[in-house]
Amino acid sequence: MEKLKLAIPSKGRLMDLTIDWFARQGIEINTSKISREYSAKISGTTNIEILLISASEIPKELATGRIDLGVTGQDLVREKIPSWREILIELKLLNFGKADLVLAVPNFWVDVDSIDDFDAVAINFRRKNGFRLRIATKYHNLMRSYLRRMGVADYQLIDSQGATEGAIHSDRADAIADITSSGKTLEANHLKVIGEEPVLRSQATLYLSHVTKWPLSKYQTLKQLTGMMSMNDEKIRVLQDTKFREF
Amino acid sequence: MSSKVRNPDLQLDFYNNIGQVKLREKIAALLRVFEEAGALELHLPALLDSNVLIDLYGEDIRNRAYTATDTFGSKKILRPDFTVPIVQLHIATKKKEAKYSYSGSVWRSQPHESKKPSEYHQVGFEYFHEIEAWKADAQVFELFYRSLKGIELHTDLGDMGIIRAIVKCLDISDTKRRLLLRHLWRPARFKQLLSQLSTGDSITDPKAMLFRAVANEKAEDYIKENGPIMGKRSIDEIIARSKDLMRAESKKPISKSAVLLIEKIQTLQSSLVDAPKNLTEFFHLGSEIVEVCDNLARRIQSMTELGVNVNELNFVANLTRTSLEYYDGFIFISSVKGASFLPPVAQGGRYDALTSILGKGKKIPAVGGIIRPEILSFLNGDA
Repeated sequence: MEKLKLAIPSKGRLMDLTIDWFARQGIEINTSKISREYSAKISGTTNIEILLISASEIPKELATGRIDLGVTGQDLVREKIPSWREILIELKLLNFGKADLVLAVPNFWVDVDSIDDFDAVAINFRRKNGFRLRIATKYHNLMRSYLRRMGVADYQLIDSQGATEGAIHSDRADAIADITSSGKTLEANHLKVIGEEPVLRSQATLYLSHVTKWPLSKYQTLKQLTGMMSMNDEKIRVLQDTKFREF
Repeated sequence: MSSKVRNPDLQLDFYNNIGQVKLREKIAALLRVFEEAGALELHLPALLDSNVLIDLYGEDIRNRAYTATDTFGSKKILRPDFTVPIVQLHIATKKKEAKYSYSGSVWRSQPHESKKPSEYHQVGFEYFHEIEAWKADAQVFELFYRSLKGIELHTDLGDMGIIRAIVKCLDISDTKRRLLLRHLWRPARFKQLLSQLSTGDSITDPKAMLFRAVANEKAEDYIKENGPIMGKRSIDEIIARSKDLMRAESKKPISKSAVLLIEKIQTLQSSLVDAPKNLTEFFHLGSEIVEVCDNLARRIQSMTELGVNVNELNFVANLTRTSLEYYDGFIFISSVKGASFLPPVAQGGRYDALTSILGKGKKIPAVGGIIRPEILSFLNGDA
């Protein structure tokens, strides 16, 4: 019988909170660390396989159908899988791991509060400096589509995979776009968020992948699982579509 | 090996190959017409320097073009059009007058669910000229018109110069004017800006403290309090923009009647020959508009003299090649009549704004266009 593959984040607070969340649904995930390998299983079941995968790799695993279910951040899914709506279902928003993707500029830019201000400053910046205003971020797809929607054109993205808040101080960038939960890091780096709404509000979410076929047995395991999480079947009904069904 | 020969895909490729041969013939025929018009045929690289393109078109180019990175981290873009490499090449030759032709594939990334091809051919002609712009516009248009003879076309012509002239004549602050001009190519953003600038509610509450500081000549202190100062923007720059914003605030918003005029011009459509007459009602706004309209009339006259039947052409005032910035004057788009499912068979226009940026401020008037030969093949039943 084909096992239902569920991936949870492999480390840190996100892993702990995910295990806690499943425990509250009555699903006990036991992790054990043998040498450097993590493994996990759900007590009492054999037809669900738990995989521990880095949260940032879970989106791709879902998109390729190597896993059926996965817990990861909405920010990571939207950034890494621009066409996610066609292949993934947000089965459950988990109400933790909350963070906003925001656009931030130096605090002393007292003339900049809105995205309109940012646009105007970007135009001036390019005229004065001869190159486009630099935004450091690792969220390239999300920022490009957001700024296009907002009509901002005179910018360039600088790739920054970590310590993005420091990019302005070291003159690698003029503005940054990053995930923040409390805003404290931004404040400590003398940055302020612009715009009334963040670029994206994100939280940990349980995703379902429907890129591969669903054999009946696996579908029944899923129904059992969603039943334990006291969810109605509405969201997984799509799998009954002949397009996905193998039974 | 033997299993490969039996591969049914190979058989398909064979038919595709016949299509390609026919396509080559179409391309060669177009290139001959362009050569007779005095063009030098150029052979251009498919991989372009990504820095130049990103600086020109912004990050948005990555949404529309294919990017490639080699193992050494050097970044390239698969050419989304031929214009940029041709302008660069032309500038390097230091020639004043030149006509170029070219053919080859271009690559455009399409939205996930789109059925548009991500690779297709363009056969093009570009004219860098010293003669008057309207004359060059007419000559280039006539060449494309002649190249497509025998096909029933629906052709729209426009002129970005008209809306630009109107924005230039509006009684608004330079900051607002620059903002509007910058977004001429983005109709949605332009519309939003216009409504904002006409209601005058562009400045929100957070600016109140700043304006008080500026009014009391305490702007510098106020900025430093919010410090530290870092990055490329200076205190002076921020003070200057703050003062601009305050001045813009005190200046009255764009009048309702001006907004109505802009909306009216954006919806203006008529036969081409009626266009100059229809534009006279905007003349009172300023002399720039009279000038643009004169150019339009001369262009139409010149096209007639070259043998173009101008009576079958349409004028669409807000016609924009939304996919590309920098097309800033005369524009044309030709589609096959009764085949709205096909992309335009030909399009082109003037791009002096682009050459001026690549030429570091030098004025290099240029006009040109492209034909999509696949559509000609399709019409012949070759594809």
